[in-house]
Amino acid sequence: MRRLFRGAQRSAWIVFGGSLVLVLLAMQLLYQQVALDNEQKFKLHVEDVRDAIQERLRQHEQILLGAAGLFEANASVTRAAWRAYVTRLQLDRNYPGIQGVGYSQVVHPGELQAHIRSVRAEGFANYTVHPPGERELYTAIVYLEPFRDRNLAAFGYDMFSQTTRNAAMRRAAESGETAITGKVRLVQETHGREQAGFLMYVPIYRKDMPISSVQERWRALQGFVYSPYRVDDLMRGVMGESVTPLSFAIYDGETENEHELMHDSLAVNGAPATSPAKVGQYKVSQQINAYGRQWRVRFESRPEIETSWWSRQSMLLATSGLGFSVMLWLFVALINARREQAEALASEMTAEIRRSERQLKANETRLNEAQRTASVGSWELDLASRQLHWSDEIFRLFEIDKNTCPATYEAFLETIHPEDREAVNRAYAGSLENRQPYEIRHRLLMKDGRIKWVHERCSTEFDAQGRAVVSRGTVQDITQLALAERQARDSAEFTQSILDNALDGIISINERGEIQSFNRAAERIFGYVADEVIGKNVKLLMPEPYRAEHDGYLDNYHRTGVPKIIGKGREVTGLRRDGSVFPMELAVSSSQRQGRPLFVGLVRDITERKRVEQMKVEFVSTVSHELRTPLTSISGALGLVCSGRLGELPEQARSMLEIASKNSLRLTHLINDLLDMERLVAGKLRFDMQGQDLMSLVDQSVDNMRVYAQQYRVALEIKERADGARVRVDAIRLQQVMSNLLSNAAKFSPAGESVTIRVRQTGRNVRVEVEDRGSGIPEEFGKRVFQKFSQADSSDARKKGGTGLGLAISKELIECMNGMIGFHSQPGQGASFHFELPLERDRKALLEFHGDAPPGAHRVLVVEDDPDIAELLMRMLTDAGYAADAVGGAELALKLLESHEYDLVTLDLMLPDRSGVSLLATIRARPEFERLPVIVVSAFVEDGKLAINGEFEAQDWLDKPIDEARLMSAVRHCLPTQTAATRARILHVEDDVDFSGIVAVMSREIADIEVVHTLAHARERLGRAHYDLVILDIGLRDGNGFELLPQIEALQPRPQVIVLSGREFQAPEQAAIFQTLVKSRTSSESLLASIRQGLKDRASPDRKEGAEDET
Amino acid sequence: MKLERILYVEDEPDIQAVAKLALEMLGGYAVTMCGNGEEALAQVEQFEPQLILLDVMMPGMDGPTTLKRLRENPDTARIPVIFLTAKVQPQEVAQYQALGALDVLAKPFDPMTLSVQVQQIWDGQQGE
Repeated sequence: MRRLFRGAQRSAWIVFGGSLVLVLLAMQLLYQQVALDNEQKFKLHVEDVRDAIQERLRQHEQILLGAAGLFEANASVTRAAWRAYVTRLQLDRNYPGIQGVGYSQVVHPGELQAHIRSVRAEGFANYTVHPPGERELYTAIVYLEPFRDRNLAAFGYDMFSQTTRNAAMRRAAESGETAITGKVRLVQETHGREQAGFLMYVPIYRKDMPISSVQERWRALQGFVYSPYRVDDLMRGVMGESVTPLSFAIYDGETENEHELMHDSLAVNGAPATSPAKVGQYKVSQQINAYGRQWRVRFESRPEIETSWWSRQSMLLATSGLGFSVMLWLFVALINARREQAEALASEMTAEIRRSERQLKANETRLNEAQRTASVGSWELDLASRQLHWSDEIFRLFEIDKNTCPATYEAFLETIHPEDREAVNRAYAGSLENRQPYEIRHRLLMKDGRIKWVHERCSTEFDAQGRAVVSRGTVQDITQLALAERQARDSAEFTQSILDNALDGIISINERGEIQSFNRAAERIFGYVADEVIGKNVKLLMPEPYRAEHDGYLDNYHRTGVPKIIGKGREVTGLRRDGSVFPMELAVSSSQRQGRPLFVGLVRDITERKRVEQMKVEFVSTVSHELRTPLTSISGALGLVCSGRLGELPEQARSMLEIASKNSLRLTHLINDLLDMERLVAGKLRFDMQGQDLMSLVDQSVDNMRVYAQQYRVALEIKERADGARVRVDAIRLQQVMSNLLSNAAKFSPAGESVTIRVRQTGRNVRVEVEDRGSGIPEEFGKRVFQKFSQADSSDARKKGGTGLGLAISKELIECMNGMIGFHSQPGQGASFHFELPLERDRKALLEFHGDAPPGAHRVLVVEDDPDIAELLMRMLTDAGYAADAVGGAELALKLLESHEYDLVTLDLMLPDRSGVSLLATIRARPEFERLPVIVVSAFVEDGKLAINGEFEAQDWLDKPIDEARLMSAVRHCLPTQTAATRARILHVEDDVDFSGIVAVMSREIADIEVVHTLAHARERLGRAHYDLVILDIGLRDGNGFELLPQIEALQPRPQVIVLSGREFQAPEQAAIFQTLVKSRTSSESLLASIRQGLKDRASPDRKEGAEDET
Repeated sequence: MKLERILYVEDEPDIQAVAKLALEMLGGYAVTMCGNGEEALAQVEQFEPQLILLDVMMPGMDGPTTLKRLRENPDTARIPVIFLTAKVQPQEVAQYQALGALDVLAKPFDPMTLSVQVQQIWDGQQGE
């Protein structure tokens, strides 16, 4: 409905309006028509009424004329005759309005009295002519019928006396015509409602007189026949019975003067007086010529009737018109609405179509693009029409010009590689038969000979009868894919063949230890088929205890990122399928596969090798022993003979025997060396380590070798000495080393040259150098100098003698004695072999001295002659942040106390040079040391206490073995302000000098920072000193910073660790690292903040302990 | 032909002494000792040995090399050579023979039988 009123309903409204207008017009027309009609009718009615009026008048005139006729016909007319005439008329019935018919006799004044007497003589005694008065002419109504009621009053009345009547009578008399009066008041109006009246006169003339002129008429005038009329009555019913559609008013005269109103039909008919509201539509005023008088008759249409009857029509018209208009409006509106709807629908549809079109186009484009991008073309074959449609991509793919060559099945087949055509055809035909879609890979052969690989898919639609209707398919260029696949296949085959052909077992496991791959060699080694073990845990290949350990290794690796086995070749035991164990060499490397860690293990069954090694060892051992036995006899016997004690020998015999003896000795040496080597390698060689005076050992060796050297005409000279240097060595083994070096030097020195021996102290070690001026050692040999049986030139050895084991043995020996051995040689300039041994610590000597202590740190003097215990104490103290010096003797201790400031002394009672008790006494005796806290750490605490006997104080007495906690608490107790005043110590492990420099400068204000550049150095420092915080770089020259973590973690108390690295890394879990930072991402502020925080956190445990102490 | 002159090339002096004694005293040959290959090449023209006993393992020019050099020189090419070596496995013997050696004697040798062995080899090749 609403739609009907919406928008472009203008047309409807217009139509409506138009229709209304039309209706109005029609109504107007109708109205006009009606009006016209009405007017016409009115006019007709008017005519009717007028005619009626005139007719009536005429009728009445007729009566009078009739009456006049009486007079004409008769000599005289008696009253009775008159009466009869009038009665016969039946006036009441036939002629309403007429009051009567009367005769008025003209009476000349002279005849008046006679007249009266005559009438009176008839019986009317009271008859008189009234109104009395002298007049020119008198008339008297002598006859008047009906002679009753009102008419009686008129008897004898002189109408001529009245002006109005007079006028009419005169007129009548003069004209000889009927004449009526103007409006009069009838004498009959004696009672009742008064009506307007008039009279009609017909003149009567004497029969025998001429009446051709006015005068003659006057002379002839006899009287008048007349009738008075009451107009209202007269006019009543002039229209007849029917309801008059109009009203009229008769005015006497020519104007509608109210005074002259004679008759108003409305008033007469009882209708209310015309109210202004209901004024009649039509009016017309006409003049009726009524016997000499002018009557103006105003006709008016009666509003009630006219309204009612023309409004009915117009109401009908209006309603129907309105109705029609409304319907028209509705119709138009509906049409409009419909049209709008239709239009809207149409435009919507158009828009829809357009949209669809656009979309279609877009889709098409998209499809095309997609096809192009994916190198997939699509085709459709209408099987009924054999019409084949190819998408653009197919044309592109097949390299066929869309414009020149249409899509046909033949063209398709032609493009297919000839060898594949059959297969493709078959596939298609098969798919039609089976009603199954198919896919096939085949080649295309381009015109220039290039081959493309494509993947074709096709499916066919079938109708209800099972006939193929349309086939649709896609063709995708998979050339790249095919190539890649082939490559991948080749690569995989290649890899697999490597794996298969490798001699060593290759096993890979994931981070959970599950076996991922197991090559043929591994199968051979372990006796499993790959399928049996893949997915299982690699533990099954290990016997206990390795099995349990392996999990531990994996776990550890996960946690710390530090591999225990990885990269190293280890000899482990493997477990075969049949339950047998075997020795195995294992090298593990880590890798990644698809983002997960992968461990690859190379396994070699070294059963054979081990067996061989074992055999060798046994062989060496057995044979050596077996060899030794006869050799002993030989060399023994020969020795005896050569000594000359068994008698003189002939020259040749003697030289032969000497040769024999010498060579049997050589053999003995060789066997000894072999045995030594074997025992060294097995770790079975025992060392008897004692403190020795090095120089005396060196002297001995040199002396012993002099004779040997002389063989080569080489002199041995000691050019430098380190007398008093003491070392802890096995004297015999040291001499063995010396012999080796000296004999080598002698052997390789040219004759006449000398071998120089130098001994000197270098820091904490003593160095022995043996230098020869031989041909030197070639560079490429340098690495193998200390290897078994390696000599620069194997044939050289024969000339020079020697077993080839000498240096290898020497190296082992020196290293077992805590030394190191090395050489230096320039080819052509001789060689210098050296070894260094640590000096034996002088027990009485100063063991450790730290020089300037960091400010704020407390200095402790450890007086302890046992270096191990001294070291232990030192470590405890430095870990806790104290600066400690150690000294082994009492005298030196005192000297130190005097020359430096110490806050605390730990004192061993058993000192080499003086008893600790006496030292304590001395200390206490000095006033400056009165308050110096001394903690006695001794095995003989009780004895010591007794000895002192309360004479002087020691702060505390601690037993040995040393309880660290007890010691530290005692120390802290003596030095309570430790924590507050301490400046933090930071160890920065960093090989980038610039960076470490920066960090040092940065943190100068908050801590003392010590920089080390290598792992080794870091280890050393961590072992010797205490640090609150370690800043650790990951990538160091000699290893991975993480390797320090275990050591750091073991420290008491443990320093905080900040790990700094150049790049992102994955910190091992559960490693106790305070923070990890990336150099490039860390600003100096944040580094400083981290350091501060680390130090702060570090300090709090101490504070807690301190609090404990105080309670 | 009677074997009389032998050139012995050996770097080890002790073995030189023993061998020389053994060959001269027990075999009656005239023996010239050379300590290395170069010496041997120098001596061979002078001494004109009938047989050369050549140690394989020697410093500098080893046995086989010395043999090759000998073969290169037309004057010395045809002098038979016996190698002395510890490596006396059959295939090794074949190898040395392929190089042109007449035979191979094992080391250590028994001085008592050295001469006999040498003589046997000499006689054997004489017969051809």
